Formats: sequence, C-alpha cells, structure tokens
Amino acid sequence: MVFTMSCPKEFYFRLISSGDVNTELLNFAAQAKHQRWLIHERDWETSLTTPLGFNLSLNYLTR
Amino acid sequence: MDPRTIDVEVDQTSWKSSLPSDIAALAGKGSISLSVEVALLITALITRPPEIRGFSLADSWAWLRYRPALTETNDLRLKSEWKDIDPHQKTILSDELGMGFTTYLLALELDFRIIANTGYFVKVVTPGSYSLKASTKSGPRKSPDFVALDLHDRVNTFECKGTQQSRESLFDLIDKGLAQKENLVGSAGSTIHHSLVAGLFIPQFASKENALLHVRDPKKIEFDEFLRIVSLEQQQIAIVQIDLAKHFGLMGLQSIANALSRRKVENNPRLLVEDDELGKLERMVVICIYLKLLSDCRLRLSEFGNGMLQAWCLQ
Repeated sequence: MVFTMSCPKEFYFRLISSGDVNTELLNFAAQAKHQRWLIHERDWETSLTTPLGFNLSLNYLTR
Repeated sequence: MDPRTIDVEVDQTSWKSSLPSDIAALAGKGSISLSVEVALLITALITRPPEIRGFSLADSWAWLRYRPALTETNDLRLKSEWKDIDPHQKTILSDELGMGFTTYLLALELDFRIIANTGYFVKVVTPGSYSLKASTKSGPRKSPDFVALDLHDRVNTFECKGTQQSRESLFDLIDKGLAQKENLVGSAGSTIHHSLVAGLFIPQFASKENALLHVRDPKKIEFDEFLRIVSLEQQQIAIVQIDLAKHFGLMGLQSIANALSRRKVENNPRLLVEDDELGKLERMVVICIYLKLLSDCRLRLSEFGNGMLQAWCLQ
C-alpha cells in the first residue's frame, strides 16, 4: 500500500514566505471549515479529503 | 468503503441545561455506519504528534496493523484470533481505535473540522501565561486529548476512550475521563461550545454486545480562565497551526511540521523551513498527478509494475 497526500501548493508557499503567518492561518481556516471527509472510491484506489482540505489517497499495490 | 454499523448512545442526563440541538440529533440516531478505512486513516492522523522527532511509524501503520484484526461482518467486531493477543496489544488497539472512531463520529455529526492536540495548543497559544495542572501520562490527572474548531468557528474540547472488554468497562473509563477534562483549568470562566468525553467499545468476536460509541458531557466546563486571557482569534490560529503541522508531518514535510508545532502565536514569527522541502513538495505534487493519470487510464498497478512505481516515488 502506498500512502500519498497532497495540499494546496500555493498555500504552502504563502505560509512560509508571509510576514504575517497568523493571517494566512486564519484565511486558510476560513476556506477549510467548509470541508468534510469527502470520499472518492475506485476499484483499487481510495482517496478522501480531510476537514482541512487535504487530499489523502491509499493505493493498494497488492490488490 | 468497508462500512460498519456501530450503536450510538448519548448520555443525555449528563447535560445540566437543555440538550443542544446537534447533540439531540446525534442522540436520536441510535446507530451510525462508519467506514473502517476512513477511521483508520483518521487514527493515523489524529494519533501522530504534530512535531516530528523520529518516533513515528510509517503513516499507513494503522491500516496495516488493525485492518486484519477486524471481521468482515456488517458490524464492528474483532476476529476470534484477536482474543489470544497479548493484553498490552489489546490495550493499545482500544486506545488508538478509540481515538480514530470517536474523532470520526464528532467530525461527521458535530462538524468538528480542525483538531489540535491540547498540549501543543496550550504551548503555542499561551506561553508562560497558562499551564495545565501537574499532568500525568495516564489516570485522572492526565490532560484532555483535543481542542477542535467546528463549522461555526466555535472552540470545543474532547477526550477519547476505548475498550474491548464490555460496555460497562467503557462507562467506567468515561467516568475517569470526566475527571481528566476537569484537569484543564485556568483562573477565570469559559465560552467553550462542546466539552465532551467520547468512547468506543469494540467487542471481541464472541461477545454478545454490539460495538458502541458513547458520548457524555462533563459536569464542569473547563477552559474558563484560559478563554478569557486568549482571544478567540488566537485560539483559532493555534488550532489550525497544530492541525496543519500534523497534516504536513503526514506528508513527510518534517521541517514545516516542526516549525508550525513550535511557533508562538502571540509573536507571529515567520516560519523558517529548510530549502529542500520545497523540492520534496514539488515531487509529491508530481506523484499525485501521476497516480491520478494512472487511475484515469484505469491501469492496474499490478499490471504496470509495482516495483518501478515504488522506486520512482521514493526518488
């Protein structure tokens, strides 16, 4: 099984380059709060979006 | 996605005032269907420390370790072989699945969206101005588990419990949890929304009882003084910061995970991250696009060549 995860790349860059990290975190929270555990299923792959808006996927290499 | 039916029970008598509408809705459910695969992913995410010190196992550990222990029945239940496992391992399973399944329930039913470990939350939001009472790693003086922001930006706290002995044992554990929650106190009052103790009973194969998720309200609301000395905005920032640290840690981005888990909110310092993490993030994005392309083409990885893909992903 391979475990992968993605995130909004632009957010990462903004977060580490910002002089006002607190504002970036609040903005992110405002966007993320409407997320839920969203699940997408395929026959050999399962992926879901966490409440924070990150996409996680499990790929079953052995199936 | 591997759904399992679990009974849901809310101790309505533990609420001294009228039952909040979302809690009343939860109480009326009777049972809920939860995905084992999602619950195990949440277990991996929720139990990992925000800070990476090299102690964590690979992040698919929860699925690898516990999925084979569960039966293929419609309810949540342990396989018959599990009864012969060492008691120490049983305790660990109970604790960890207790966190995963209860957090899953609270995220789905009470809209807990952003969740932080209480200890790290307190550390980043109020340096020097607030502290837990002398806390222990277990027992009634152990500090509560998590602080969560819900859909309406309200602050909530919860404590997780788990057992595979019996429903009665779960109730005993939750009684102890009530004392733990009262351990987090400050010098003034509280605007906290929900303050809960939630527990999972997962039965052994031969048990006549069904799996149960039990939710209770403590008799005392904590965080009173704490919420008076820290603005709601600072609390929100701290919760997001810690939850993000866990997510970045799960992605293998150690530098930003550690920077976020240690950063003091009141000083609003910039995040210092190692340069090579940017390259790592770029590779992850490429891997995700690559896997998406594979899935769109409906190629099975076993046909494509697992070794090649794994080697490529690890470059």
